Amino acid sequence: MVNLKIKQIKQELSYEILVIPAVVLFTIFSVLPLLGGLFLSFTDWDGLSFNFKFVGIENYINAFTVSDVFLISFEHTLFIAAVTTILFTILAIPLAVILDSKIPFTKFFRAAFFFPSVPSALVVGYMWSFMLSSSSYGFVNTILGNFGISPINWTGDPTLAFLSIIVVQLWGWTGWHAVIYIANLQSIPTEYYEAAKIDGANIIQSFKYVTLPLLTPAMSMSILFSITGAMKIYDIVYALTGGGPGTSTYVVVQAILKEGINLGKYGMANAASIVLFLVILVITLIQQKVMSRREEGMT
Amino acid sequence: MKNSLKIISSLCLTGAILFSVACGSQSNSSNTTTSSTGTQAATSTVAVEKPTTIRLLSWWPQSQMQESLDAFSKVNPNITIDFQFGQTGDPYNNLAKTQFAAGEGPDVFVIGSNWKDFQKAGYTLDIAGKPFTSNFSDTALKATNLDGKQYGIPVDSWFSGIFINKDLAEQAGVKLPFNSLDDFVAACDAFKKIGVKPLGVAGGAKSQDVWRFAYCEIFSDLYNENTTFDSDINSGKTTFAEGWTPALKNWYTLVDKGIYTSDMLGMDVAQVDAEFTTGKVAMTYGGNWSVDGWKKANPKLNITMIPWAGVKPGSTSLMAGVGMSWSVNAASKNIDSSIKWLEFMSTPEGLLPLQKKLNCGIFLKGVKYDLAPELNDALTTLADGKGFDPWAYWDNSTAVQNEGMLALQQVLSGKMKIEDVGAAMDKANKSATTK
Repeated sequence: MVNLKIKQIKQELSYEILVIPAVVLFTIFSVLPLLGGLFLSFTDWDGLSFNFKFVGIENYINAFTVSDVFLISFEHTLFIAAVTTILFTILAIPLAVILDSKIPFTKFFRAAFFFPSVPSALVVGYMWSFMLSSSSYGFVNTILGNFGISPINWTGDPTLAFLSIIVVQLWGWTGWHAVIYIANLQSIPTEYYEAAKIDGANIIQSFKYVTLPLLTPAMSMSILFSITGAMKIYDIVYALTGGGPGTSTYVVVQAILKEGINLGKYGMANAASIVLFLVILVITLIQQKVMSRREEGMT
Repeated sequence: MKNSLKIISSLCLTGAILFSVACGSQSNSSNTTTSSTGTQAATSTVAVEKPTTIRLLSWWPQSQMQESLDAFSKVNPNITIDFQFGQTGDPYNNLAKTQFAAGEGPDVFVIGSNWKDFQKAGYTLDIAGKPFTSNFSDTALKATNLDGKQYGIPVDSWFSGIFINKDLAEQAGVKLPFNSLDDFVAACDAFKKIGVKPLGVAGGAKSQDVWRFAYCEIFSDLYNENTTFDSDINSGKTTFAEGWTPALKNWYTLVDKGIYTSDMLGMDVAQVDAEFTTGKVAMTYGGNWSVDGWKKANPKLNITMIPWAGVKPGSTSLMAGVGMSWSVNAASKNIDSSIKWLEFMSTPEGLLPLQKKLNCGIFLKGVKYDLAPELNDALTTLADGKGFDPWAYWDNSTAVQNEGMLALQQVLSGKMKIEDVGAAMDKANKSATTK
């Protein structure tokens, strides 16, 4: 018995040793900066001098009381996270089903839909800001003009600017999420579909009662990535609208940069970052709990 | 005492700008020629014989700095420069601060209106008494002088205003320069009649240009007569709401007249530049730094810079100020080599190539230089002392400017009244003061 246990430990140890490099890198580049940020969130550090003092929870209070920018930006960020997550799920699943089926040039279409997620978000944002520009050279407005439609202020109107960010995000990442679903689809045994066919299920019923429930693991992963990505969104917003007009498309990371770091209030910036971390943590814990229950229900 | 110092400082800096521009020679031809006279030869206290590498963090891209860098290498073959560029504005400041906070600050770097942040943290070397500092006018050196210690050498002076397409102006029958806001409005109407967009403004949140002509209206209406406003703001004697609102309301008439439109909020500088250089837009905001890029995009572009004219006839103004300065990192391990860069940039051989690229004024004593002829029409306004940059004197400049920019964008998108902009800036000023 003891020999078996020693053998087991030795075997597990060999696996754990392989994980050590990743753990070390994660600790250095994620855990330590997080702890450092937590420490600094209780100080009045200006980002330059090493003379700073502890201010308790003053930064946490000031971030949300001195001005309403952080509150507004949290509101916007949560809205973007909710809307894009729902829309990614609604759009990526049917797209994955189509791309997993026997259509001509499957590989080409998979690459084409995946490609928008490859360039940097800044490049994508600047490209779209030119395309959606209300200048004489705005591509979209030029096309609309050919159909007699007046120029639309895509990134200058507060509501349309928000819509533009969401549309660009969907354009950029639906294909990426579809790839997650494709991987899951390919693991669903064909026997289930055969059995459903035998029971008289049509295409829609097969999708509803076989495909969709068995996509739960992919859905869990896709929603997790969507939420965490959206909560940290910044580069696409900066490149597309700059957070404007005014604060109408301000997101949390931007508020941290503009109201904290750029004004030398690193303590407050760290406090807002810690709050963002906690919000993301709570949301993802709830999401994982809900999805894992659903997954258990499927097995 | 503090208020008197602010007034004296602002007058000195205005004088410094005028001094630097007055030294510039003006050419009526489209091809400028460079002429320069030598300045007092700068001598170094320490020769650098051992090969060293210094890291230089620049405010300007390598394309603008290359000539100066190459000339430096010829004169100082033992010193290699590791060039790094930080995008102008907040990205540069954040990059510099991050490097310093990590203990990896550059050997030489550029300082601007927030230089005291670096000085307080002990990152700027005192170069008072170094022979090469005497190559500059005293008034310009004051920009980075504190309590008798000198923390930088000045690079440039800048000025900005309205750039107008002269060919389109002739086509529309517009007479230049404008004498009042009514002239500007009439010009806009004339441009609209010939089917040209009168004004292009990068009103998007990535630039501060939504404010530029609003500032100019405030300068024309208020600053031409009130020389103590900024010191009164700092001392709490007045507020932005009280002082700026009347001028802002005058500016807002341009919104009512459809000259400033909400679609400007969806445009950035590159997009406006594309419209201006291709003749889709007759007028735009620009500065001495703009001409080089515009002429490269369209060598046939026939433009001129003119001052803004306010409501009262003859009340013209420009935005103008002392620009950036070179400084040495006090914690640099290569102090002698780093000082060599400052020494070199205190000579015409070092500074004139950069001046040519930036089309700016410089503060080297007795040095003649050319400015692009497109800037000539604005120089009289500068000589009259009507160039302003009040944010350089506010105690909480960054916070106030940020809030003002957000507020004016909200006005243009219909979410805020113009009367509330001053109050928003006052709130930001107050909360930045009570940290």
